[in-house]
Amino acid sequence: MRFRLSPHDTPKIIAWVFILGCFLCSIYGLVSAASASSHHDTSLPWQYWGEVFSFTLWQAFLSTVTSFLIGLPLAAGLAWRFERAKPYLLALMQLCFVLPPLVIVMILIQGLGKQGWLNSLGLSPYGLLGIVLGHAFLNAPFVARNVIQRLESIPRTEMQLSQHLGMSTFAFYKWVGLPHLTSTLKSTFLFVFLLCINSFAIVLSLGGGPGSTTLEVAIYQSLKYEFNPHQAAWLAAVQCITTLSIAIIMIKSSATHPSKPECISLGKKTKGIHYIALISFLLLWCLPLCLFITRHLTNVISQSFWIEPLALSLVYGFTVTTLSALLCFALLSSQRAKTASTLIANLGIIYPTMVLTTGLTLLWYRSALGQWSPLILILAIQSLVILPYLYRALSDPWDRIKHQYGPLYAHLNMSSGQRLRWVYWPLIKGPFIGSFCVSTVLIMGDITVPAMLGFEHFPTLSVSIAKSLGAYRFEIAYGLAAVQLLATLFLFSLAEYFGRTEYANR
Amino acid sequence: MHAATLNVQWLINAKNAYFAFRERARSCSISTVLLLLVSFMIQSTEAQTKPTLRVATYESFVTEWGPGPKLKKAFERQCNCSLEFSTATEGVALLNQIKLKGEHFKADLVLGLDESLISEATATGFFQPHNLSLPPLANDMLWKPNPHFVPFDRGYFAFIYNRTKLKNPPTSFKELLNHPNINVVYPDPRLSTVGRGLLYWMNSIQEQETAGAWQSLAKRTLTVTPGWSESYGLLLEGEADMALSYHTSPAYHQIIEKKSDYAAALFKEGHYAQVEIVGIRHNTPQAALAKTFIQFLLTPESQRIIALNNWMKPVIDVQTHPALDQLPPPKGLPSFEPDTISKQKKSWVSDWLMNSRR
Amino acid sequence: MLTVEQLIVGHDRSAKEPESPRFQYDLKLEKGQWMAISGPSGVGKSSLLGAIAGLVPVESGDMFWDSRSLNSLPAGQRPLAILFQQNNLFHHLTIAQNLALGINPSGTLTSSQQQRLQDTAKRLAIDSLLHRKPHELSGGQNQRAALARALLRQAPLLLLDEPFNGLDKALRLECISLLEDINQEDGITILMVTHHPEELAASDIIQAQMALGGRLHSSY
Repeated sequence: MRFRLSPHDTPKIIAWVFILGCFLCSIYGLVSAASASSHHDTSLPWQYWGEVFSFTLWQAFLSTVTSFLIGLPLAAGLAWRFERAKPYLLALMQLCFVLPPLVIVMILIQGLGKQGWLNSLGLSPYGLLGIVLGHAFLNAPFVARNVIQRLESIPRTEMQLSQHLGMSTFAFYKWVGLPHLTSTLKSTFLFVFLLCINSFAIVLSLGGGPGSTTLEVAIYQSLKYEFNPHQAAWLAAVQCITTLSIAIIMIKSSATHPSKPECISLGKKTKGIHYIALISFLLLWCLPLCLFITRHLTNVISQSFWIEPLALSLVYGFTVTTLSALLCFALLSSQRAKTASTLIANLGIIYPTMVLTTGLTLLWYRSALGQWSPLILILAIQSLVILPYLYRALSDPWDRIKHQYGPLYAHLNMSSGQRLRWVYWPLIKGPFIGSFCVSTVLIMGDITVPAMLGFEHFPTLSVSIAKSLGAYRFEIAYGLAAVQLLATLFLFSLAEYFGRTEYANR
Repeated sequence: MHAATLNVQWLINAKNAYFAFRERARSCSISTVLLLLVSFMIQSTEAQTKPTLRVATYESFVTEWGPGPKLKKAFERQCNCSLEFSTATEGVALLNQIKLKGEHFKADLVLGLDESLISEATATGFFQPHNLSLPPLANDMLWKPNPHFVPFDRGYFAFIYNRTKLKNPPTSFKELLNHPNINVVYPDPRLSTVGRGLLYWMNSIQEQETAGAWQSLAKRTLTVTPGWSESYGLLLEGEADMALSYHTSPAYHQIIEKKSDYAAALFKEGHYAQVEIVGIRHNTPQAALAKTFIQFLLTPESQRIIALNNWMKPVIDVQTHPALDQLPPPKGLPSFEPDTISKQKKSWVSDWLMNSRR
Repeated sequence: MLTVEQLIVGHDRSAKEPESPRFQYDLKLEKGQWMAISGPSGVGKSSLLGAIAGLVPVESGDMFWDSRSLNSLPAGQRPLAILFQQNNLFHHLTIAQNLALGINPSGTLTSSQQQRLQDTAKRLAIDSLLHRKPHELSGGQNQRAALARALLRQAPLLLLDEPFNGLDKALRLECISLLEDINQEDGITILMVTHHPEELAASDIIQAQMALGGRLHSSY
């Protein structure tokens, strides 16, 4: 009886077949190309690849630890405070998640370059330090955000009890905070670790040269110029084994029972030190961003050529995200084989994007499909790439709803459609719109897939930026990047705003 | 009473008509969307009166600032045909797209590979001999005629610096390598055409002693960037003293920005040239038109357009703009044979890689 | 009549203990009767109600309402209504919407159904609260609303799983007297789990004790 398929499983099976099909096809495409070109041998010694492998893990570890060192105090400072400004603060902090490498470099060197504070310490923003700082720049806010959400969902009674017992801050975190946070910390740590292993733009731009090559970058290098699918295939295999094992640990460690968050605004006292911490954070983190925007927005704002790519970026991002959201909901729709579903949803960060794109493109153009425009291919690839983000954002609330109301709607004989309309949609709307905005931004900022398939299919802002850079038009490119920054900021603010309403409604 | 029944009947009719309309409207809109999708996906296959020449090139060639649009206008005026561009990010990406897409790569003509890729490009079997007799090329060009490809522009790799900030630029590669306080940026030879140029340049100067030279360069290097634009951006921002580019780059700043701050440092050892080439697809139905286009590219008018919008030197002797024509000429180094390049490339890259790690 | 014969229920698979106990139940309850089950926690009181409602998977055995087998019916189509220990109402919906979903899971009602909703709400004294959301109401009001929805399902069998646990004694007694009305006036059969059997004063309530493994000892 447990293995009988029910009609409820249909969407899930379709999603499984689609996702696994794409990944298997890409493996097939790459392997067949690799075996066709097997005379390619690498003249690099094994020692080099050993160093690449250990550097990959080492930089990811350092980056993750640094992200936590910055993110945790940040979370502790922001939790239960600055209620009104918080969504926008978090949005501002996440901005750089999606910028073109050039812009990240430009922003970082404004703070860290020749005239910056780091240089006065005699440190270079390139190399390992640059990579670690860049990753921390991206991921610390992500860590802070996850931790804040978990902290703020500690039951009111426990908070009141700890206040009643007169616990110090330290005692509070030791006895109340940490036990609630353990599983969140574990899964966030591994997720950030995965992101840093797969990170591409940061390592490429701030790595500073051949000394800091990661597996992902090495795969890109072997495909971009050499077109050496053989080397790419075995590098991809090494990376997949690494990330897969981490992902499995992550999924196992986060498979705890979802707890029900409560809305509390304790109105904790905001002390002077919190303001100081906040302001110094803003200065270090956000000032370079704002400077960049104000400095370059004037280049383009009086003209109109940015409107079309911006609009197209949005349309494009929306389409891809919708497709990905459909996959996500299909995966969530039934409880059966949950761990496997989670793994499948996360294939996008386990499997290198570059390899997915190349493998599928090879297969596409070697089949009869090749004469068609690769639009469908592009949409499929991009939706698989953002699926892990959407799934991560939606699976928790989804499980919580299921846990809380599952018996009730089963008892009331509600059909899938009625469940969606009366139970799931109203409750998941907030996180959904939130993650929808974030995914749209991620797609808008992506340049890996366009670089592989040719620019003419991608009329987006990122591609326009790359185009103007190729033609010496740096000022215009920076201006477009400023537009993209603003659009991103807007979408992130929306995301935070809607992400919050979930709690407000309770 | 009678009137009332009539009214009701009328109402029912109207209602039915309304639903029928709505149904039709819905199916109409669905079919419209389907049609749009289909037409979006299938390349238009409608019969065209004029022949179309499909040219694949790199992106910056066809931006609104590049030579593409101007060449298209000029060529369409005389050929009674239409010119259609498709793009890849840069020259090497073009070659990769040919490898990736094979026969599905939609182009009659590929414009923007360079001399160093000739043997690799020929090996794909994608190109046919052009059988053209070319006009006399510029005197200082060291071009060995090739059956498949024709050059259309060129530039020497050089380090660009800001005159106002760097008063005494090095006058030789050796001086640069031993200079105590200059930092340079260059694009990754594994990812960029310009970076690959440095590889050829270094090997053509040093011949045997590259390891030590790469180690010295690594000490001068601020960072290695993924692409040309990041390197050049660091120079413009004042972060780097010198960035690897083409010796023609200063002309852009002079002509478009009216700024003479930037100059190319000319080295005694000489400079390696990049020659960009164009070739015809092996089974194109538009071979004749493609040949006409190549001949058109080598006319003085087109050469001027290419030089002043792609910021490279023309391949024939022609006056373009004083700022470009009067650039001090670098000493040219002979290019490697395409076969040498395809044989040596891998070991050159690993040589750079193993000696540039800090 | 509710008949449960040699019903074997494994413990919830999602629970953490791997060696979870199995329960076996035998039970007969005449139409219109009211049975209250009490007993130490962990003996399987909730699992019995869950199994009858079709929310807990059954390993073997049979359940009948009159002569109709319940085993093969999906949870939503069994002739019964159930009140859980918690989460009886959708917290993001108004009381009126919550009640409407009890009558028709699509949420849209005919005017006669609408009238029935109003009448039931009046009967349970929540007719002035229909436009509010659960978190704006007191615990007692919420449980009355949940009871109203159970009644609106017009099921002949009502399962109650410690529904008044969070309420104080006065409210519990008030709810129990409501149940007495329902039991007597509508002839609804009630099977309930309670921690306070002593509060059930009415003489015709069957008091049953559940022992480990699901065995029931009833005493009038």
